[in-house]
Amino acid sequence: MAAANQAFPAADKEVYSNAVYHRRIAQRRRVTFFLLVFPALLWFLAFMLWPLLNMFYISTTHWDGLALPQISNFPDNFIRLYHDPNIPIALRNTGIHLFFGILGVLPFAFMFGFFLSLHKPGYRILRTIFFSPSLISVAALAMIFLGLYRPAGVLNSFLNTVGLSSITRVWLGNQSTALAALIAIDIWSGIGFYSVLFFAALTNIPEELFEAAMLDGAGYWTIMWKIAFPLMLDFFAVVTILQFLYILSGAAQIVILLTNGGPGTATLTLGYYLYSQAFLVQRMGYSQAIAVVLFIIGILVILLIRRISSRLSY
Amino acid sequence: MNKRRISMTIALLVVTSMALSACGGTPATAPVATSAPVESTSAPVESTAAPVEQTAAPVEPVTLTIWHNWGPDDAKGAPLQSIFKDFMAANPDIVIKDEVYVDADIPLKVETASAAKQEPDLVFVQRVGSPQTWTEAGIALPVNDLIKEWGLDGQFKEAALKEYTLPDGKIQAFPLEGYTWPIWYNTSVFEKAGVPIPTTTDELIAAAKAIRAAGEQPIIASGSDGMGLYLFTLVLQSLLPDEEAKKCLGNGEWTLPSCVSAVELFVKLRDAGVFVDNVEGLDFATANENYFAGNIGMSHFGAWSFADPPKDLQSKIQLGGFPLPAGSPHRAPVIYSSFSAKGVWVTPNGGEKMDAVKRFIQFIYKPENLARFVEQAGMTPPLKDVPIDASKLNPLFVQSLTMPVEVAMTPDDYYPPKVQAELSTGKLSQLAFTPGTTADKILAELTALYEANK
Repeated sequence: MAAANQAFPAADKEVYSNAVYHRRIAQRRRVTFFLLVFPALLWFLAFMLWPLLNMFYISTTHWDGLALPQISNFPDNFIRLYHDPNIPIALRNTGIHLFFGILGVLPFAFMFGFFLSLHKPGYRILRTIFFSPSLISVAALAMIFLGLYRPAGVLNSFLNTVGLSSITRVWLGNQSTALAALIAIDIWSGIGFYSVLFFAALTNIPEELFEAAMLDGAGYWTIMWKIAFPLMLDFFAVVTILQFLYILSGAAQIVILLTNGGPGTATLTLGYYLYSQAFLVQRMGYSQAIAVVLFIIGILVILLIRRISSRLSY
Repeated sequence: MNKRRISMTIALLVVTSMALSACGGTPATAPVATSAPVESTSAPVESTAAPVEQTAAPVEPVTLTIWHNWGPDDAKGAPLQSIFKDFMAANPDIVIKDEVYVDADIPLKVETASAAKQEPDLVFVQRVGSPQTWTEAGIALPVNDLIKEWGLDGQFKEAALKEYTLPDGKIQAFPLEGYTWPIWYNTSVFEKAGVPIPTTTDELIAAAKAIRAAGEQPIIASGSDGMGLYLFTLVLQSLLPDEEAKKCLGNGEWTLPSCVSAVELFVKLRDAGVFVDNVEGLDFATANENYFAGNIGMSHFGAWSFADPPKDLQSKIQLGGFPLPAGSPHRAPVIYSSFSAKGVWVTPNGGEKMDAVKRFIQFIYKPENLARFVEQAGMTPPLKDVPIDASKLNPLFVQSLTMPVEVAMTPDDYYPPKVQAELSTGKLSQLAFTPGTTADKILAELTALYEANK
């Protein structure tokens, strides 16, 4: 012990004990951090990561129903996916749905949100009206539009009244209009919701910026697109991702309720095809192979959106 | 240091075990099953103690859980409830707990419940789609031995049992509901149009024109859902012998000339206006509602709708088959007739209560009990001899017994199950009923559908 004390001069000993102390503190913090995070980590592993890994596993099996055995058949499901004539149709329809479902919603939602942020008289009522479609359940929404689109529905009655009988049709039953009719529902219900989101985000921009621009002679259009929009790019990217993910997977709900992918394959989207293979045809393994494709598309597009927004951001 | 490591490890283990125990598992103080087997309550007890007056513990009634779709809105709902009531009165030790669901939802509900071993004891469901795999999957028990042991041998109609018999000889379920699925002709509309009930497709086209000229509409169908598919296939089968129909609908050989001609026949009739306007947008409920309003010439409804039309319309309806095209192999207009509408499936859970199941099955299959369904709902009974009070029969059911028709094989008997599941969504029938869709387009869609489901 004495020898050890002799080996360290007093100053060095102080440095040594400080280093040990800091190392111990750091170690204790690490352990505390781990203990605090552990329950959440366990939750994440058990209920998030495990199901996700299961999706990949099931996609490599032949599984025709909950009660039937799972038999490994890799890579059969993916070969089938490659040769399935419905996949290109579903990809095309999903692409169309995404294109119009994003471009038809977000720019208009941003404009409405900007309008709300100007706090013009009546903006509170407008905000409530805009948001109200989001309060309607998907089943109720489907019923509303079923009433609108049915042969003797509101839309055809209106067209008949204004002398446009020649363009009346069964909107959900016609191959050329069914997908557009479904996209219109998403646009109708999406614009209001995202308007309110944009409004909430726009209120964080200092009003002085807009006032200064107005003093410099900028109009609302210029302020909206040249000042507000660039400042909102990150938020716009997040909203784009939300809408993209909704259409990619969630929009299958309205397809299930209104068209079942028909007529023919006119409204067959990847999300609906996944559902039908899993729950109608009971081809569980194959449905998860479709889910893997959806997952990969989702990841790639999210990365693309993030890349674009980070390049465009100031 | 070591002590600290040990204490940290213990802390981690404690947290882990807490988290895992919170995730599930059997608690240490799991309650003892409350539904002890009935036998145990009446088991003799060997006792050395002085004899005392033993009062027998009250026997817990056995609960039979039954899932079906014959709710209050279904004509078969009332007779079924009366059977439940009478059965429980006659068997006070058995309680029936019935749950009503949409018919199409029942298979998946049963399959998920079965995976958790919580399926009902008995299921009343149609023999269409996934229930056909239940015996193989162990979701339902084969009933061959039960039919013999429970005194039902020789009582079922052969056609009914044949439909429920798998290639390996196992009988999947007790057949319950048979049906005829004819064409309903509203004679008042034909009288107004001044045309007779058609027996050929040429007459049908002429009748459709006359009906339209009289301001009414010809055939209504549920073009947007799976029910419309059966009219589509019936039209095809009016031109096809059963063997050829099997090649098209069963094997997907849609390039065969006979299959092509059959689809072309459908397109020809559709383009000649034999179906109501906007038929591709109608579902079954809307088609029913419109037909029962009385201004539509024809419809394709099954025996399950015999009790539905208003009284004044009922007397005007003439049942028949679908008119035959030139070159048809059939001798009379065609209809569907089958026993696939409802079977009674015994599950493994039901197998655990076999005595109660036995008594219930024996009760519901008493001819006088089945007669309730026939008399009140026009159901075709699965047994050979059912005593029926003719005065109580639905007039449409009576008419259906003497229709001058030929029965075409129901496509349910030869559709590949996965194809049928997709077709039942109605997207194919909707395409076929949409004006302007060519025969080539329909054939291409059908080919792709069968290819995708090989």
